[in-house]
Amino acid sequence: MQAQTANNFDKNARAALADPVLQGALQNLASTFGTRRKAAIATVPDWEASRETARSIKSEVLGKLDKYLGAFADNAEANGAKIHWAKDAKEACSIVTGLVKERGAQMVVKSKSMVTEEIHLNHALEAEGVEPVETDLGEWIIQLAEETPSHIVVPAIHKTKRQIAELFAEKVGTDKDANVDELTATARRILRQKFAEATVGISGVNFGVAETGSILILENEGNVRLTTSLPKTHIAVMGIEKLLPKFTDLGVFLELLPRSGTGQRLTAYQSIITGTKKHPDHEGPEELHIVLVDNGRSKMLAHPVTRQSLACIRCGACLNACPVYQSVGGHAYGAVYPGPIGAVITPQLQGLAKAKQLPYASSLCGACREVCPVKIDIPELLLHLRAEITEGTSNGAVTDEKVARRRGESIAFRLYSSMWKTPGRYRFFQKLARTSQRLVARDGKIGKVSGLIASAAPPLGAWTAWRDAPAVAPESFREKWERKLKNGGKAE
Amino acid sequence: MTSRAEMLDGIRSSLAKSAPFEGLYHHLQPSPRKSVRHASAVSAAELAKRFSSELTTVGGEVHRAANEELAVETICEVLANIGAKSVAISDLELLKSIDGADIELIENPSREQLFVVDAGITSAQLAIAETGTLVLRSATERHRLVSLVPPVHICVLRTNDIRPTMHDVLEEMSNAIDPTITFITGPSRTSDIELTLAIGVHGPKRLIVVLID
Repeated sequence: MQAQTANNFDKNARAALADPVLQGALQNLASTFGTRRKAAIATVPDWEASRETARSIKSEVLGKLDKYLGAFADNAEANGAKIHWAKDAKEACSIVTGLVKERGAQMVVKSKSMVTEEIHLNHALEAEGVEPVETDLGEWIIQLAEETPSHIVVPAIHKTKRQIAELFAEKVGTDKDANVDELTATARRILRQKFAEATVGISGVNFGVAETGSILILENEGNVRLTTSLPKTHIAVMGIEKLLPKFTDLGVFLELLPRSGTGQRLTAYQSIITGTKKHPDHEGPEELHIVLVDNGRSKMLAHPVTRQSLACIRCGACLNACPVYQSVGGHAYGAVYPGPIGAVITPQLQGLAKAKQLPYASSLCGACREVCPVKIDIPELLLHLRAEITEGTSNGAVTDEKVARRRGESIAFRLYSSMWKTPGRYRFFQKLARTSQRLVARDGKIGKVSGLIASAAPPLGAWTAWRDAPAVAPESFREKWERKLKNGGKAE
Repeated sequence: MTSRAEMLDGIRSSLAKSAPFEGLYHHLQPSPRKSVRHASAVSAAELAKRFSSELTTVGGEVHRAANEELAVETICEVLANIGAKSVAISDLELLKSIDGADIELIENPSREQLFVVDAGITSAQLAIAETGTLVLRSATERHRLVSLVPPVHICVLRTNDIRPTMHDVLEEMSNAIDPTITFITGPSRTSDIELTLAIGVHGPKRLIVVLID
């Protein structure tokens, strides 16, 4: 499973479809989250207006990101935080591991964070002899299993309770038949020990507020609160796109994110941290480091369509709504961010060449666009990336192969148009198709065509490699009409 | 290492590249800001009722008390019910008057004590009726860890401090933002295993609010 890459989506997807355990694990996802989400959004007076407000706020921030990011850094530092700038994963990892080692920590507690997955922070820490302990239950499960998350919100969704019970039995010695409550209690007991010992805590960030330098983190379990308040040093790793202009802007996003993500009206906890404590008697972080990570994000600012990718608030609603994700799960995408949003983010983060199958991992049905709380037009983005792949506009290179294909396509379409040009020709080719399709059509459709026939009729082979083609009907509407008119309009 | 100036320059140059395309994508531009919704004026009694019912829905417990004295009595009863022997408290004055014969009250607990006490008692500075949410502001009370580490969190709240929505609370706090602000809606929970709800994974397993009218 671990060797899956973003360029093997076809192969990964077929393997996922043939995996009965995975299919069982994925079964409840869409219906459970779908139902909960619907009920939760019904409690917002005007859901559409909230979405539009959020989209607009994100558009404002991203269009002037240099200004807002500068203000955020100034205000966070004025409040006592230390800001670090990382242009890529390598820099981000070396900043964090440097901070951890300076403080002499051999173990750090971590709360769930997609950006730390993206930069592979755990590997970097381990390479430096530091033990990273994931404390979110789902993340801890996959850390024990030495796997990667398969969902943005519920990282271990691909595992069944049975598999998790067996994993715990093997790794931490619980009963093989332990139920969910017992498994959860085990995690609590073991991880509390880690929290009690840790001197450094590492978290992600859901939202940063430019005007105050605040960061906000949402959760349900309490491990974010423990990670950010028990250790002396808190390191928050944050993508540069996470900003909102004003403190009060948090309101609309707190309305949208939990409802879209887990179908809750609000998650159990939100922590807003604004710098370090101001008074010796106060509680509050003694030391707060915020690592701002670019890692390919600023490139997405270079076009209004791709810029939308940065509005994502990582709720996971598009994953839950996507018929492709529902069928193949997260690992098939071969990258940290799966599902529709992953299919647009991964090729942009890793480069189109490394993930060129992902923009095609979609039927363009638009379910993702419909549920997205910040109205990202994911189908539009997918088409934009597909165009970049076929036209080579991402690097400006127009290869001989591309020139040849354009010429081929142009000839093919001229041929098609000549076949449809006059009623006589149209009828002739229709009859020809009806006769020749006898070789391949079954039950009114044409299944996978390969071999000699595929090479004789090139588009047919390519089309049916992935989906059925409709067969030409035995009698067209026009033919039926004429036959019935001859019968005096009477039904047969 | 990359400097601040280099990172911001990178962002600026990317944004400059997008300038020629902006006019073609009107629907992706910011729209005029609309004011956020505000609930119509609601009485404190109604807010308290809504708060209680919402908190109960997510697994919290609510006790009502007519005044401070009765609130302390209620807290003692709750402590007796859960069989608490040692209890961590925040620096809130009111909590010092808790008087149980065989209950040890610990103010300013150490890290070790936090992990072994039976309950933690704090107050909340604000609350949100719409979602049954407590708001803990760190500039006024030392309650960050006491509300988090012990298995039971008992929280005192005044009816007057309940606001209708999250928007109201954010606006009220926006002029003086505490170093840490914690929103709490019910006990700790997870659905990470087969989307099955389990209570009390890392934070408190029980959240008991004593509401003072």
